[in-house]
Amino acid sequence: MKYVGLNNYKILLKDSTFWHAFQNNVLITVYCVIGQIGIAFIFSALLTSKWIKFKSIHRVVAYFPSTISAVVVGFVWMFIFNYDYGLVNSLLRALRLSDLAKAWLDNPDTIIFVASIPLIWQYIGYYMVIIMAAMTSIDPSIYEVAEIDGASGVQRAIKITLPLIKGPIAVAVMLCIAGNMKIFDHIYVMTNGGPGSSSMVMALHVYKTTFIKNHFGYASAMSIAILVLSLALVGGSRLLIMRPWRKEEN
Amino acid sequence: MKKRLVTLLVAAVMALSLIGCGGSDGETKPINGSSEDETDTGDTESNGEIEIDMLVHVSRSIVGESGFATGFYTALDDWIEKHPDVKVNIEEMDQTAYQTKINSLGASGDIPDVFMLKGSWTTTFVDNGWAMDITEELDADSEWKDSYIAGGFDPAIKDDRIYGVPQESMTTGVIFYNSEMWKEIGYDEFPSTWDELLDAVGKFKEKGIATFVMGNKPNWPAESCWLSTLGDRFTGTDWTYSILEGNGAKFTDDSFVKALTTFQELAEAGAFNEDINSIDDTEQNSVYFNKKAAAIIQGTWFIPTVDTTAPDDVKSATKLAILPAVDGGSDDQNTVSGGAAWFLSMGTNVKDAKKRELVMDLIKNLTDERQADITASMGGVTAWAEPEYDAESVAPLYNEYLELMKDKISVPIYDACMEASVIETMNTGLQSLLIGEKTPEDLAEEIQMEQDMVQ
Amino acid sequence: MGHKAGHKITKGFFNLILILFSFTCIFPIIWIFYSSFKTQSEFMQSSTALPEAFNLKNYISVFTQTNILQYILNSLRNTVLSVAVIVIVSFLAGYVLARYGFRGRAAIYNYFIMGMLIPIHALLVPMYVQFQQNNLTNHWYTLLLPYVAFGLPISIMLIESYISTIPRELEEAAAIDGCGFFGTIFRIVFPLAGPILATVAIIQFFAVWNEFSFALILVSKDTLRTVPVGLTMFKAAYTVDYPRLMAGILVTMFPVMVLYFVFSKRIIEGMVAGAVKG
Repeated sequence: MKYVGLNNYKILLKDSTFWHAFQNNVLITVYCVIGQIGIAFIFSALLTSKWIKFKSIHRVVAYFPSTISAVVVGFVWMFIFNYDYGLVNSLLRALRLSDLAKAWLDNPDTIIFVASIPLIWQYIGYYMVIIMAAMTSIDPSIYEVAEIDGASGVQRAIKITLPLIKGPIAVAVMLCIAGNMKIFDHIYVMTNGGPGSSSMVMALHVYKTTFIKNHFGYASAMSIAILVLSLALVGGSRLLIMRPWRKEEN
Repeated sequence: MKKRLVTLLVAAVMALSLIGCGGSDGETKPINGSSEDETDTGDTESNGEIEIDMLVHVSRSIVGESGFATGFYTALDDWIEKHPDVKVNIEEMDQTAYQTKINSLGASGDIPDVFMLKGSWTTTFVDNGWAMDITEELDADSEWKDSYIAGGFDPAIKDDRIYGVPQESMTTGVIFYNSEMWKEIGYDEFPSTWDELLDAVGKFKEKGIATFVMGNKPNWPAESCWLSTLGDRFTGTDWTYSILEGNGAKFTDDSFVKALTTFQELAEAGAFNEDINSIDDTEQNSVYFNKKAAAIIQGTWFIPTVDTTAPDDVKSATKLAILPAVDGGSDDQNTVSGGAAWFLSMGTNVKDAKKRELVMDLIKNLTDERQADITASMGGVTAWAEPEYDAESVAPLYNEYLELMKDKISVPIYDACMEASVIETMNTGLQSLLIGEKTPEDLAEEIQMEQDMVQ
Repeated sequence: MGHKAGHKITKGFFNLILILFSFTCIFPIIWIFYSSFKTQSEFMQSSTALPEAFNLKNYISVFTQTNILQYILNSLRNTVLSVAVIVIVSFLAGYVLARYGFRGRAAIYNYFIMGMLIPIHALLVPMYVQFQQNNLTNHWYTLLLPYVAFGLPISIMLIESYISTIPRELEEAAAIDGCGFFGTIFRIVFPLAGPILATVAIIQFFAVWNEFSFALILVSKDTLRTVPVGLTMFKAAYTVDYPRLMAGILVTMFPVMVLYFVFSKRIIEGMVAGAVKG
């Protein structure tokens, strides 16, 4: 291997697949932050309210998908989305909506959204556990006061709970960004980056460049780029949610 | 006191996490071969026992089901039994995992003593100094060397030196068709012209059946099983050799673009299943077995699968053919892609002469008639030219295949011989081509660009 | 009155949503369970239908053709040890980051974040070289090193953010009572941080249990293989025997499922208790 200076980075700037993959990563991250953390927050709020029955069953079961390896999840959803006999299309056909039955993983325009669904589904429980753990640190007497004031459940969740667990939520968002910027297994199993490279993500591009195309040097340059891009996004998200370094000094 | 404790703690944690992160910045690792100063830990143990490290993607769990795996492990166990003084450390895994591991080991200078080499890796593995030149041993044992199918060694040859012995051989472009279904639309035999094929596609489409099912998610079937044959029908085999040797042929040549265009037109005519890019090479079989597709192009590995897992009616209706002749193609239209794709190679870490001899002996045992006969008797195809087996006891489809191949010419399988990075570009692009997201001209250009980068 | 009825409908609606969601969460395992009793050709004909007969062939094959029990043991050992180390170390680090302001604190925090952002496939080769040169490959403890290292960043961050929300009066009181540094954090803070430590333990448990790439590269002896790598042996080159693979998945999931259901009950009890105590 010879020293090529910044050549790999020059190639990187012009590598349209990489930048397309980056765009996909950002899209997936946006879907997942909204889907995973948003839904997880709603579910957590519900599960701490008095409305819901079978709370402990829900709590135990919701985390279950996160315990399964990404490969198995991708594999299961591959069958759910299958055109001929998949669950989604079977359901649509049973409802006499066969026109809506599609080859879900074959349309390059919607593939990223469709491929994000299993991801969102799998990690709702993951963020529920984090958020519910954070909720335990809230003093219940605060809610009692709110109840006397006549605050509704929704108001309570948004005005009281959310600000109080801002720190853990920021961490959850950061984990979500970090996880999705290097997402690999789900995409690899479900679409292999296709059709073409329409669902390519950065880590899969690194993998293919390293182990299929055998370009180790270029793959390393890409990895550094991924690190920098992810750091920028994580930093940005933290700045948006809270100003983290203004902690009390002692 | 407290502060110092804190500092120590933080230092300890950082040191721990360094183990993980340290490697990230200095990626330019010596790619070429082993580090010389390293004592060959694997070569000789303290008790004088020789150890041979092997890495393969043949699964022992399918011994008795797959002909090739059975032949391979029978021969291996036999050899181990005869060499009690040698310790063989074999590691097996699936092909995807294998690809990751062998490349990592190679790049780290720790290539195993015996490993499986894909034809399209030859250039890289040789340039990086991972695969051992075994030309002399093979030349010295010409009886062994000459017992393989013609051109069997080709993909493992670079600059006239041989770097691997062929194992499993395959014909990748065999059409398996359900003759009953074709009869229903008026074809007693598989179409022999391209127009007839297009006509059949139209008729199947009316019935809501895919003419061909293709599970192209792993993205090699379109290239390996289809384009390798279809491309050759337009370009002729000389073009392929010219590409391989860098003698002037280009992917942007009219003939190759014409092949891509024909392929795309076939897809546009509705010859394939809707979910062509999202089902894999196992799921596609079940579409054919469930009669939702009238034919499938597969490799010879599919013969035992039909025999053991197809429903009885499909099994008895299944017949074999090759793609019909194309209009405006090259002279030879009686062709189908086939040959050896995987080779057994010696790693460059074998330095000791005695060990080298043992490794060569092991490779020979794993690739000659000792495994070929067993494989053939179970309906598997190896690169060994004339295996001995009982023709009565194998699947009828296997004999039909041998009958079919009698007057056919084998042409190179693209992904068995072309550069891996070129193949990856081709494979990815074909997915887009087949759903009309890319024009043949653009794809041809992309492939040529990758080819230029390699050379 | 109408308000009450509307309330009931919303309640019912939310209950229904959660029940549906919970059902989808266990559906995959049900599907994998009954599919594992099918033969390959049954599965080929319909991947959703119930098996025709209660066929144990796949399970027999899983147990006889691979050292599956060995793989499970290896995975359990790696997982339990890694999680124990991760929880203790990240608790200490998280506590320090949450409670002490010192020069370079932000730098250290960012350093940990960086650890989470590198794609794993870029690390395989350099990691292997380091391990090989230091003779660290193929030991029982080999995989503990990367698992602990890569488990720390997330864990430290979670624990840091949680401890920041705990009021520090208790610790100060303990310090006044003459409790030392370790006495304070282990006797006072550790129990208070119970819910997040449990969360970290669960998250890391499954992250380690399912880890594939390091286990593939850094270990080559069959006696040290972990479950995810062991499962790849059920895939042949051109056809995958899905039902058998599913039997393998189930067998290897069984011990973790049991552990999860046993411990999750206690964890949830702990969380609820924490909430009540405030």
